[in-house]
Amino acid sequence: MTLRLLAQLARALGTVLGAAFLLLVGLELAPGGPADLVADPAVADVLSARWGLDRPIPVRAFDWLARVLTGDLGTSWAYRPGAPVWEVVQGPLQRTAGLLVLAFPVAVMLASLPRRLGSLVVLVSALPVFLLAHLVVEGANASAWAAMSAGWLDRPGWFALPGVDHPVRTALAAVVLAVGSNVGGDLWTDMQRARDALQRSDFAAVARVHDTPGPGWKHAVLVALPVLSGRLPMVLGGCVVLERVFLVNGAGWVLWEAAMARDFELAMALGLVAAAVVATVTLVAESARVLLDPRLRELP
Amino acid sequence: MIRALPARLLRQTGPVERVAVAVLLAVLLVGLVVAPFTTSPVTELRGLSAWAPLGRDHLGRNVLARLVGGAGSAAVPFVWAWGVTALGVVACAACSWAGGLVRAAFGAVTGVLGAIPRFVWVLLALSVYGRSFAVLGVAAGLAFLPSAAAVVDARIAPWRTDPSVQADLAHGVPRRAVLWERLLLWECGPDLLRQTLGLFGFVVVLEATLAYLGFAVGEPWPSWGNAVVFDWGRSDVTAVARLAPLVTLWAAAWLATVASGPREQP
Repeated sequence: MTLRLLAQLARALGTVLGAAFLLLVGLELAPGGPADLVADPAVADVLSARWGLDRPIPVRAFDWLARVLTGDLGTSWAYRPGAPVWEVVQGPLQRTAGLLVLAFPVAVMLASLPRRLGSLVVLVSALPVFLLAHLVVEGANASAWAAMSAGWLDRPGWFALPGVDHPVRTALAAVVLAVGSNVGGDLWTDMQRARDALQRSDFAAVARVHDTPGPGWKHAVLVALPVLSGRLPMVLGGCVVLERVFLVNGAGWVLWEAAMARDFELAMALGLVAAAVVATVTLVAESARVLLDPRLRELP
Repeated sequence: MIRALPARLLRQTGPVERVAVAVLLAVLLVGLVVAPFTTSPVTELRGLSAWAPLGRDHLGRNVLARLVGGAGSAAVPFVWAWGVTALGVVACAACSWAGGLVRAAFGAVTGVLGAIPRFVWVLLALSVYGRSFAVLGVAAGLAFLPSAAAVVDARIAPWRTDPSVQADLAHGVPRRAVLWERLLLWECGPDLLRQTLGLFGFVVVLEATLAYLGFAVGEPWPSWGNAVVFDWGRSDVTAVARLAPLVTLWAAAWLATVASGPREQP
């Protein structure tokens, strides 16, 4: 079991390092560079030498990886010029993490909805995140406006979305994140399939025959963990869109701004953080499965 | 075997998949032939302007013509993405067939690609390489590759040691015929069709999202994404004209989702 866990740890580390390398090589292969913006070639050469841009790509790749491993994610060029990337992303990352934590119970609740509601979940979930967010914002504003016009309601604190920073806005954003772009529908479908497979398993049949306890919380966790961790990349991608529509100053918002401003150090750092989060959550989910499932523990 | 492939695909697909394939072909035909992107936004689809069953937007433009033009915004990157994914799938099939370290190395590469969220990947590519349909399509294809590769690998790897495949090889059937014709096209064919539909849904939603957020096709060029917000909330435009882009996008995304089955683990 220890070897298995160590192998998973090594795979997670390899994924993060591979993502860092891929991001850097992708950036290095792009035409042009920051020094090209300077009109005077002599000054451009000096800047290239100072920034280390005149070194070969592999050297710069490993240099960047070494810096990343020591926690130095670089310096923001355009979003907040001169500020260390880690300082820039710290607050937004916390806001996005809060959103994800709020979306988690919503996703679990969706995945455990009864079968008759499943088609509805799949249908609504097919809405892209931006469209669902757009409809939720417009719907909430229109409903509140109608209620206020009819005299049924005083102006609520969150009115009008998305411009007001209010817990209602955060809650709606979390719901949209857990539902939109097929996340909710896929979760529900996968959980149903896994649940059906579990009910058809020999273990469940034997438990029924002997009137002993059938599948319990361990089985539910075992089924849910890979499903939830597998959907994480989609959810993280949805954060970028969602934070733009709901005007949440999270990591997705910063990533978008960095991409628009071509602040590559910042954008790459956030891409790397996303890959690290995915790798870590996958590692935790896989390790938990190994610890909970005796069959997996016995595998070489 | 290749001649019998269409019949096999027809047998292996349900009505939803067939409708989804028809919609995909219609979008490709309309998007690539009727609404090429070299035309001017002023003159494009002028022939349709006398016929506007979906009404007109607040600038007097034919909403149906805008939707037809928007199909082109989705079709062009889809073609690029499909090409990249197809190349990746061929490479994946070869690596799965080779097995051992080669298969593990390809799996590690797709694992790294899959760890970076698809939207983040595409956004970074557009930011670094510039905003174009080609970049969008290539990035979308690379982002989608891990899920398509996982399906192909899961199919082909067990076949390597299958007695029927070993018998084929022992009887002198060429390896390329076994790998490309029997395994990739025949055995993986229905899965690849579903993956194509999944890719279609992904590209449609991706393009619309970027257009909605103002990072891709912007007004006056048509896209289903920017059409969603263009007339939203305006009282001088009919409800049909306002809702048509939204319903079109939703229907395409839903159809692709249902037809392609549940998403594969990235």
